Amino acid sequence: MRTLGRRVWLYGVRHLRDEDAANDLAQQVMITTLENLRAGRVREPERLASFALGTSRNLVRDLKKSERRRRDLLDRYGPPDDVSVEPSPPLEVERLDECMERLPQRDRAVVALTFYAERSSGEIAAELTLSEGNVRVVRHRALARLRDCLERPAEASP
Amino acid sequence: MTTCPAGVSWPRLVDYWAGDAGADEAEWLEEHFFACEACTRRLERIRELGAAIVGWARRQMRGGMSPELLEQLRADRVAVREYSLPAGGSVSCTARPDDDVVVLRLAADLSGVRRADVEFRSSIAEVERAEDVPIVGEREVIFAERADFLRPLPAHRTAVRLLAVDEGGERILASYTLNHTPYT
Repeated sequence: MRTLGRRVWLYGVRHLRDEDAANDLAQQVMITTLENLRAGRVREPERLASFALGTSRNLVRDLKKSERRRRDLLDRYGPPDDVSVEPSPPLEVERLDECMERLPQRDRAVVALTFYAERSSGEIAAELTLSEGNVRVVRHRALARLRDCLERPAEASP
Repeated sequence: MTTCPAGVSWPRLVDYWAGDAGADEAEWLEEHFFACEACTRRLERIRELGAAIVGWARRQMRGGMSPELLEQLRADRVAVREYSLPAGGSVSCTARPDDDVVVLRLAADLSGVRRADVEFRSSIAEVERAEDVPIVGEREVIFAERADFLRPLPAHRTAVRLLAVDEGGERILASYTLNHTPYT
């Protein structure tokens, strides 16, 4: 169930763009999933993930429509066992800065426009006179480089 | 990290997370990662990297920029000081105590330029070159530096060159002069 909670949380972050809201979503989805399991409405274990995803979609749609409905659901089911996702240890800031400095200038701008300014690849392409395809390739490559740089052991200082 | 049995690639997950996957693709990926530990972990990694980039941008962003990044910095109440220079222009510049970022907007004709580098030559530092900076609308390059780096510098002049680079070599698109003085 913890694994499922992580996935619901990721889905929530992706669609709600807010980690606290994603935590709330994960709680609600897990409550609903457990209730339905106990009531025998989810009979096949392999259907559990699909059930949770379907529930997540419906809830996100409702959340986006009405904040009040979300509070009603929490009042009705009460606080469940904690299914919130533990925050991962923060990435070491100095190491991150080093890794960002190693990215080519244009790649840095593309990832900053994607995650910081929250622009689509179409908007970034128009801004930087690139093709959309080019923006996506630059973004994939930059994130992979950043990932690999952060996972590499830090070089010993001279 | 375990491998995804369906062979879902890193680029597909990045596109999904960034909101660039079509509706059908997003639905399929969501059905998939709810059942795939490898993809769940990779999405978690992408999310962490995205959050780290946001933190870096607020704290440390410098180098090649775009108008939308400047707009976002201002929306985040980062104090931005701008200097706009036409090709061949010069400016007296400084970094005030309440500035966070100092930005140069270097105008030039960048039509057809695929790669632009910015070179800084001053009397107080080694030559610095920023390679492959973002080109904005074929008409300017925007370059940022942190104010806390600039503030302690003594009075000095910096010659800036904007260069077009391609397989055949490089050529100067425009030159500019910065006359920096400490804020008083």
